[in-house]
Amino acid sequence: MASYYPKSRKPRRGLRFANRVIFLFAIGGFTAIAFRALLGVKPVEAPQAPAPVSVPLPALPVEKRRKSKARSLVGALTFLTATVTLSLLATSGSYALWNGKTVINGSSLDTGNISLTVNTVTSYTLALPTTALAPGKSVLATATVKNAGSTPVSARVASTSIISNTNGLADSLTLTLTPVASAGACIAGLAGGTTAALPSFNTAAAPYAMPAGASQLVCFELKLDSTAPSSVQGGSATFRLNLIADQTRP
Amino acid sequence: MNKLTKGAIATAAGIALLLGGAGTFALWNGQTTIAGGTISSGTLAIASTGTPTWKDISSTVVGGTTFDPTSQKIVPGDVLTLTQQVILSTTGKNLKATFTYDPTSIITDPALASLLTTSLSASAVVATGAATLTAAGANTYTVTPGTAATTTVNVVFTVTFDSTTSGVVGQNLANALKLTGLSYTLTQVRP
Repeated sequence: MASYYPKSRKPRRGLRFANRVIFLFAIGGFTAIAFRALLGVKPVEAPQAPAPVSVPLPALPVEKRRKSKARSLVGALTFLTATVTLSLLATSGSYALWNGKTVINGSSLDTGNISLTVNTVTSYTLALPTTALAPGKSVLATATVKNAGSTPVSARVASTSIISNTNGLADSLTLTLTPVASAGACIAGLAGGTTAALPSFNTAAAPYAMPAGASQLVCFELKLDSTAPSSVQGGSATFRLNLIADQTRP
Repeated sequence: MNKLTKGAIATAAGIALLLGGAGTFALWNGQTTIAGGTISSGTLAIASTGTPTWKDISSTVVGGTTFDPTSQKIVPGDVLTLTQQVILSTTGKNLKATFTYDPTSIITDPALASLLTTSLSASAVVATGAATLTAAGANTYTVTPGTAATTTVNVVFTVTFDSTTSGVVGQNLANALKLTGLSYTLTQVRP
């Protein structure tokens, strides 16, 4: 048979056969892809290659094998429990539900004070004349008592302290405390105030109610009792009136 | 390219394709859709509205019941109220919440720590579908949503200065009780 191919170009018989086989393989592969795409099926896992043959380890006695299996299971469970417990403990209380908040600007509250002043000071020296007293005679002085705090008070002379007393003079002195409207109204023998012997003088029975900021002129009359014994002659007395103001509700 | 080379490449490609495509011949399968609709989430929010108003509700007062904290001071025995409206947004089938104030948002001068006491009371403004507030412990209310999305609540915050405060404790303190950061909270609870 004459061949049309030049001898150099014509493939050998074996190669021609190989070409045909390769061609068939390629067609088969493309068909497989087409099938897969059309059906949309996930390919089943290719069967695993068999494990390489190796010399097996000497088998442990059955009991020991079971025990180690149980131990490892227990160990795994313990580890799992511990992990879960720890994680729960660490985050306890943070499983919050919804919550919202709004801030109100309520400003600030300041507290007031309570304050009683006599002639604007808290410790005042009464300007009693130093005229020597004779039985039945008085000396007079006035002072303004003021509620300088932010709340109404009830003011009173709580007690009298005798600082010094010579010849027992203090025991023969009588003090009268009377609220007056003006300094000119402060005269001896006023009524409407509190009169008591000096050493035990107090106005607890008749406290004076004063609203916040109120002032009141008070007349002090110190009289030597007409029944004073002559032993008090030449004596002198120093005393202190202790005032207390209690807050009262309006 | 050499025919032999071409042939080798084609063989390799073909083998690779065949191996990759092994086992794709699936069994029957079908699918259908369920019209489940849409699920929406509810709301939980609190917001203040209007301005806070102070009032002096002491049993005896001087100068009426108005109170101006910037110019007036409190004394033992005073009882004051701070009124504020808040809007609660509460929607949700199983929504339940507690309404209260945060005690840590109030700053009290240490000298008056036990002498200034505070409390809260709230009531929902009557409206269709408004949520209901029921007292649940001191200064706390349980909010149960109604059909309306929002509810306006009148909140009254009361401050009491202990009338048994003695001596001159706590006098002349600026910022005796600081309420500039007072916060009301709404917290969800499971029913």
